[in-house]
Amino acid sequence: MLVKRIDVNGDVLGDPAASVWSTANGETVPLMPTPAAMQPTKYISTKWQNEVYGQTKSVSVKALRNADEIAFRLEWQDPTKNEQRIENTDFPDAVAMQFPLSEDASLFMGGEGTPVNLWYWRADHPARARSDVAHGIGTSRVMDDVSISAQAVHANGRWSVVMRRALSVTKEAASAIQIVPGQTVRTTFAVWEGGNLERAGIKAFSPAWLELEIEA
Amino acid sequence: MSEKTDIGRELDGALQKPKRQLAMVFDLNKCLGCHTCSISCKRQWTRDEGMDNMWWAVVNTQPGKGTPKNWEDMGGGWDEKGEPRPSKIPTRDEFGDAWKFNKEEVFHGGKGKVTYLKPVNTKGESPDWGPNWDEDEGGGEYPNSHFFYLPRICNHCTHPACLEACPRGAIYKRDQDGIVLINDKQCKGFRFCMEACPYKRIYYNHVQDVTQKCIFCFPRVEKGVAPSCARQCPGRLRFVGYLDDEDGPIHKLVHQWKVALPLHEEYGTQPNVYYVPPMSPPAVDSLGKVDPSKPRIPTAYLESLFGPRVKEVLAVLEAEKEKKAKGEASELMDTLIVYKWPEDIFPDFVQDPAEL
Ligand code: HEM
Ligand code: SF4
Ligand code: SF4
Repeated sequence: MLVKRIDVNGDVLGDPAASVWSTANGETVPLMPTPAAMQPTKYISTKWQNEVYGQTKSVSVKALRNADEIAFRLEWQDPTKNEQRIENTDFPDAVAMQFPLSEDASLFMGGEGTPVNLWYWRADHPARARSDVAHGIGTSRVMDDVSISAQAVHANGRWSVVMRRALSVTKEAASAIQIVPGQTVRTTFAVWEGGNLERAGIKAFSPAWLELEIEA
Repeated sequence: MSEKTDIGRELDGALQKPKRQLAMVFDLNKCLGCHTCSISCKRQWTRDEGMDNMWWAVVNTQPGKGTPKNWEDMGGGWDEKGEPRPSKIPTRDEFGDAWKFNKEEVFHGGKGKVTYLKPVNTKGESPDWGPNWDEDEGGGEYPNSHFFYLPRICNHCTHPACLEACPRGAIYKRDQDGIVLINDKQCKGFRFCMEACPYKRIYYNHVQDVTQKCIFCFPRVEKGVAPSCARQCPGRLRFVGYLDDEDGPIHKLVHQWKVALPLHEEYGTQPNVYYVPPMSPPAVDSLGKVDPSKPRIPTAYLESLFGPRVKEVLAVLEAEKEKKAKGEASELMDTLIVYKWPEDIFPDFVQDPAEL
């Protein structure tokens, strides 16, 4: 998928309702539930093997860049808006992107020596996404220094979320994907349905890399 | 809180048995139900933001629904085959939440004579449950009504379901004393531990987005000070010590006299808190006639909590009590009585915190 360059202000890119998004290339990425057998603890696989989860069927992805930022617009169907986190059983809706930080990083959240960078947006903090680094299932770690801003709308039973970040980052540079114009990056996606108590490894994910070509 | 150690579970690693295990024994025959233990814990540890509904140490009236409500029916822990038993996350409402009161209106709003204190829970609703809602109700029919108090904390289990459920390995068991701790820097608030713990002794801090529980007062213990629930207990029934210390009261009660039993051993987590079961007066019939063959608290009920050895333990307690009543020596009764405080009840933790 081509990530076009459009020289508009970052705040315009950041708005999921901005008309500029109609000019962007898009892709509908199919999702599937993460296998219960791949959950890192016996408790989690035993509990969830008989439950229905990860039912979000797809996520519609668009991306644009301007001179110094990249923005991803992710849209998926979710009739229930879960944004609170007060009751013990409250889990907010969430979405994430995964970028390999090494050539042979696994789709399943990377591995030892082959880390991935995760961009994680969650509905209880709608205006920012977190940048995590992971080197395998169970190892995700928040990188406080990398800032990803976000904007989200829930309307007509769908979430639309834009995550936006500088193309290159200097702090924690080794733990964050560097977006280089003219080159390609790969990514995958995950969606959590908070209303179904989905969190951590309980989610829908895209089991194939999506190649992004960053327009020079 | 303390840093993660390399002890305990790696993601698929085996559980390591600690070098030593700290344990507590609660003699239920001495508990007054005063809640001093719960309050001292609250004052010491759970006053920060997001902790207002937390009671790491609770005292439940038995028979009763407990804290959280009906926790014994929630599952968790391990089944007979050693497989995890699925469970659920107990809610704030089931724990009893933390209520807010209209104090401003009643005390300062000039309405003291026309209104009264009305609690509301976090959802702004009038609560229909609290942390001790069924206190002193108990069970049985008059004239055999009965109840006793059951203090509960995290059991710092040897096969801790919480630790083994966490996908991040954020929970660990310390090698030097077997205390089970949640590393709050590692925890991401996923709450699988709250589900997996069959004793439902873990709380969720929604402000910090982490789970929290009893820490066996490890910063006190490291300085030779007993956990605050134990030191403050006016009933002097909370024994503390290492299980392998043959001269200490814990070893005597658990291994030598074998009168201290784990709560719901069938949950499979191998708890390290033990209970001396409560003795009770004989049952009475409707005419007031005493039936010495039947205890007021049904033995079957005690067995449902403390397992098949209850009868045997009660018989030992009864026999030793008799000896003492006759003026004979009873090492067991002397141990349970705690003549010298604090050295008889937590010999390794006698340091007065005020003198540190
Ligand atoms: C079969 C595939 C996958 C499995 C079994 C899996 C499993 C897990 C588990 C067990 C956790 C919790 C432990 C931790 O924080 O590391 C987790 C967290 C996370 N995963 Fe995955 N994962 C999978 C795929 C993905 C994909 C494709 C993405 C993103 C596109 C992703 C994004 C994340 C993020 C952002 C977190 C941290 C969530 C938080 O902090 O609350 N995962 N995953
Ligand atoms: S009582 Fe629950 S929280 Fe405490 S160690 Fe055992 S399983 Fe974990
Ligand atoms: S402080 Fe002691 S006597 Fe009072 S409720 Fe707690 S355990 Fe029972």
